[in-house]
Formats: sequence, structure tokens, C-alpha cells
Amino acid sequence: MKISNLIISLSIVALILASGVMPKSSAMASDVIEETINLSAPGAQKSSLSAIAQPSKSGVARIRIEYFKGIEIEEYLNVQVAFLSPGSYRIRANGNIIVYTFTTDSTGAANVTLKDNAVPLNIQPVTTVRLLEVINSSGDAVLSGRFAGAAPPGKPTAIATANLVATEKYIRGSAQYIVRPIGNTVERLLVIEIWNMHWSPQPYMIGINGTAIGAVVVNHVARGKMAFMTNPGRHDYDQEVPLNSQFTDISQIRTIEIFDHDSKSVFARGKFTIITSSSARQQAPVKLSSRKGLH
Amino acid sequence: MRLTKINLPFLTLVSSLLFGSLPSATASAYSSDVTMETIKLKITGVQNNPHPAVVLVPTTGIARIRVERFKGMIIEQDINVQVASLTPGNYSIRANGSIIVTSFKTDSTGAADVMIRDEAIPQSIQPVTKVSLIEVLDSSRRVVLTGRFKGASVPGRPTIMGRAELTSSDKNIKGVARYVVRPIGNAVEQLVIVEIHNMYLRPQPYLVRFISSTQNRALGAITVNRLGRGIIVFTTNPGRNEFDCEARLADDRFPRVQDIRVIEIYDRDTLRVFARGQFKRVTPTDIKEMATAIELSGTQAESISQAQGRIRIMTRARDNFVEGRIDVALNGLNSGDVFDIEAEFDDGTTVILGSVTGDADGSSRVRFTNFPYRQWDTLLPEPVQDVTLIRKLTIRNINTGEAILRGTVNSDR
Repeated sequence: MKISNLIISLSIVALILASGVMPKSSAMASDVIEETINLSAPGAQKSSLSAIAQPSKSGVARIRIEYFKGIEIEEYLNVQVAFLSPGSYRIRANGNIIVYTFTTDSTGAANVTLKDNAVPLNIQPVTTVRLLEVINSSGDAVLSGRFAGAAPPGKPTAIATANLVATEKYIRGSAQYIVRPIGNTVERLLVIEIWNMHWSPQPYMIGINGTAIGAVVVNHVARGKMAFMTNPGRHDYDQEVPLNSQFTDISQIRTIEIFDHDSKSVFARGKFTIITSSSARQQAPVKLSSRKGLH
Repeated sequence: MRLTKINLPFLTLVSSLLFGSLPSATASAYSSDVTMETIKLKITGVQNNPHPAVVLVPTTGIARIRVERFKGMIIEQDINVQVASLTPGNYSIRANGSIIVTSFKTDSTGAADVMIRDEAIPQSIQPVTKVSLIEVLDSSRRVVLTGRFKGASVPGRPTIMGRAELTSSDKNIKGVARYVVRPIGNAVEQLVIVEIHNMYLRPQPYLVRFISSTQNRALGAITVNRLGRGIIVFTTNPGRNEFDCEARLADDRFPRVQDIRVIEIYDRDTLRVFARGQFKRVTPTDIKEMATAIELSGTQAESISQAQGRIRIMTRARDNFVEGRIDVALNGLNSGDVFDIEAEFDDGTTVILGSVTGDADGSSRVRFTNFPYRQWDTLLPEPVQDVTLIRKLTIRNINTGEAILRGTVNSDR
């Protein structure tokens, strides 16, 4: 690697460190394994509600387990369904283990979380669940999905950063996206931080590639931070929200804007610079560093 | 049974059980507690906004302490200090008047975000709840910002609870908003929890607006998943991580969440309101309070002779709604077996509330409520609109369908 490239890479690493966007350090000994999958309908049932657009798939399932120094401190299995025929259903794991019975609301929706002791012993830890099904009273699977097998996040495979530039010189901000493996699957996250944002009214809209994906609220010192991710709930960040499904390929993100939700006037704008995979590999040791003294 | 008919000892017992003292199926294992407090730092007059052109950016700061424990063991702690509009330069953070915690440098706008975590925290202020006074000093050791922590602890029982059903012109869009005020040691925490589902309208995100008698402001935006389901929690302490998406509650606009009267979910472009909810006041005379305990007994077909159980059903007046709750405590189960909890109503209909699984010691507990606000609360199924109409409860093996325990609600309830 040329010296100049190295300097640039190190500068970017320093920038990422300085803006505090790297998730909790792996040195903290707290590891989260988390995977969210879509549950698809094999055709056993179609929605009885035709008045509104219905998705072709109508379920998601998530497993999450958190360890501290190798000790399991929390785990859960979450299943959400939408637009089933209203009634009672069961959750079946690995083809033959019935783990829960739930009743939908009148729209056929439900949200079930089995946490810690409520997780049946024969699917503990929840990472032992591979096949997950929602079955009806006849035992037919109306939704099913397979977990690929998650693990703690590995080294990022793609990183890009953007400095937010504002017309008003005191507004500052940065954005980064990271793609990283989590076992047999992949996690994508987009982290945005702004400060010195004292304009009214809040919240400030966040747009990527010209499409609004969320809104950020700043605190008493006019600083705000949020993370869009494929696995919200990992709790690497205070505010985690689902990554908009329009941006499943996060590496296609080119621009970011912070704009007013009424007037649409843009407060700050940035363009992403992709860090090469070789630079990303250099980045990995950064995760072990403390975030002390960020500025 | 009306509350007035319950004798005093039982009332006391019920009161003690009403909040928190009965762990749910998961609560017994949920030993992870977060203590957290966020305070504003005040200027001392040494500095005040070196950027007069930016009149809206005052010299200011906030500080936060956070400790997470698991079974009494500290697994994570941090101190976070954020400052804005200081004179650009070098500063240090001092705790309790004498302990220099760290030094930092602002950016060119005088802003900084300093996080000191775990081993980087001086031993003398571990755990960080020992910090009562926090100061930001300039390079001449003058105090430019200062603030005092009141002394936080893990959340206590709520003192104020409110609930609003979100309704929409589209009958499939549903949601609920809840607010909670609860003590956290000497400080107070406020939460507004907003959940929506079946939100298939485009485009996302959907803005969330609160209306009180003096304010009408959007506070944030909610993003739904591919099922059209989303949740956002506005809280004075984002970062406790009780919920997946925690955002800051603008307590300068809504200092008392119980003053919020209306919540709206609306489109940012057209301003069309997708869903709306009102935190309605309920007069005490409208509310039927009830509390009853049911001892479950084995059925003739029982295969688990040692199985025992108790179920408590209660309704109670809250600030603007009636909370319905069913607490289930079972023991003597076969470890690992899963059981359905079936409720039969006065009209003969039955609803499966949910399932429980036998722990390693054969016990299991769960709480169903129409006001879930803790991670381990389970939402009552929608068909259960009034828990006082339940007349019989049955515990069935999920695989065999065999009823192992049954109980009947006293007819004089």
C-alpha cells in the first residue's frame, strides 16, 4: 500500500473513531447474536382482508441472545405475523417442537415474544432454532422461514463515510454505513450523527438517495444520533430503527441529506466515500479501542 | 366482586402484587437492571456562546450516567458528557469536585461528545452512580458547565399511566400509545410508547405528533418493518434499551407526559393523518375495579399430580383507562413442557391467552395485561376486552391437549 493511501485510510479510521460511530467495542465482552428472517406463506392460506394492499409474505421472526464474558444474560424469540385469518395459531420450531399458542387480533396480526425462561428448554439457546413455522389449528404451516445461523459480528466487509456539509457553518454531521458478517448472514447498518442543529421545528428528516427513511431528534445540546439497521435491537446504539426495505443493498447509498419536513429545505448534505475492503480490514483493530476522549 | 367487597388483608395482598412483585414467565430470569440518569449542565458564566451569529446555539451541556447489572454484577457502565458552543479548545471533566475523569478537545464549533466506558472510568467513581457532581473545566481550571445528579436507581412502580387507542379511517390500521411516569431513585423518568401495525401506506417514515393544551409538535418519526409494524418510545432516558427504538422525549415541550391529550401519526408530505388517539379522561364512577384470586385444581384426567397453580385477575383504574391484568403462577410442571392457558367467558367463548413453559424447577409465571410496558409483559389478546367476564381458566398441555389444571372464578365477583 502506498504511504498516501495508508495515511488516507488511517485518517478515515481516525474520523470514524472521532465521530464515535463504531459500535460497542468487542473488548467489552458483551456479545449479541441476533438474526431476523422473513416468514413466507407456502400457500396454505391467503389473507382474508383484501381491502388493502397485502404483502406476499406476512411474518418475521427474530432470535437474539446476549452473552457477557461467555455467560448468557438474555435471550428471546420474537415472531410477528400480519394478515392471517384471525384466530389461534401455534409456533413450531425445528419441525416438531410446539413452543407457543397465540391469538391474533381481528386483522390477523400478532406479536409474540418468548424471553428467557419463557423459551422452552428444548430450544435453548434460541440459536438452536433453524426452522420456524406458524401453524394453524389443522397443523398446516401457514408461514415458515429458516434461520441462516447468526454469530457475533465479524470484521466489516464494506464501509463508507460521508461528512455532512451545511450551508450554515456551525452545523456538523457525519454518516457511515457498514456491512459486516454475522455468522452465516449479513448485517447492514447506517449510522447518522448531527450536532449544532438548533433549527425548528424538529424532527429533522433523513433522506438517502433522495428518499426519506427516517427522522432524527436532537437533544438539549442539539446533538442527535440514530442507526438504521437490519437487526434493530442489538442495542449498539441508543436509537435503532429498521433499515428501510428499499435499501437492502446498502452499498448503493450515495448521498444523504438532512432536511426540514415542512419546507423540505436541506440543512446538511453529504456524499459517501467508500473505503476499500483492504482499508476495511485495517479498520478491524479499531473495534478493540476505547471510545474515551472522542473529540 | 367489587373492590369494596374485598376484605382488607386480601386487598393488601393484591396491592402488593399489583405492581411488579409477581414476576412474569420471563421476569424471574430477567435479572438485568439498568440504572440511568441524564441531567442538563448549566453555564456558570465563565463562557457563554462564543458564536453570537448562531443565536440559537447556547453554551450548554448534558451528562448521563448508565450502569447495567446482571444478577448484581456490573456488566457495563459509562459516563457520557456532551457540550455545545464552548470556546473551542481543551477541557476536562471533573467528578464530585476533585476527580478528573478525562480531558477532551472540542471541535471548531465548541462541541464535543465524550464517552468514558467501563475500564476507562476512574476506580474512585465506580460504579458511576457515585457521581453526584459533574463539571466541565476549561484549560485554566475554571468551571464552565456544572450539574448534579439526583441519584438514580432502577425504575420503580409507575406513578402515572395513560393509554390511547389509535384509530384510523382505514379499519386495518391499528395502534396504541401509552405513557408512563415512574421514579428512578431520586429522579423521575417519563416514557411515551407508540406502537402501530398494519401501516402499509406509503411513503415511510410516519411522523408522530403530540398535542397538549399548549403544544402541537411532531417529536419524531416511526419506521415500520415489512409487516407494517413499528414501535418508537420517547423517553427522558434513551439508552436504557428496554425497547428497540428509543428516542429522546422533548421534555422542554412536553415536561409532563400526562398533559398530552392527542397523538397523531401523519404523512410528512400531505399532512394526512393516518391514525389518531386521545388520552381520554375517565371519571372514577365509570370504572369497575375488581380483584380475585383463583386456585387451580387438578383435573380428573390429570397426568401431573403435583401440578398446582394460582391465577389472579384484576382491573384497576389508572389515570385515563382501566387496566386489565391476569397473573398466572404455576408450579409442579414437568420441566420443559409447554402449556396453553385457556380462558372461558360468560358467553361460553374460549380464547387462548398464550402459553407457558415449565422451568428447570417446574415453575412458570406470566402476566397478561392490556398495558404492557415492561419487556416481559405480555399483551392480552384483542378478543379479551374485559377480564372480568372470564369465568373459567384451564391449563392444557400444548402437545396432548390434556387439561391438567382448572379453576372457576367466584360467581360473586
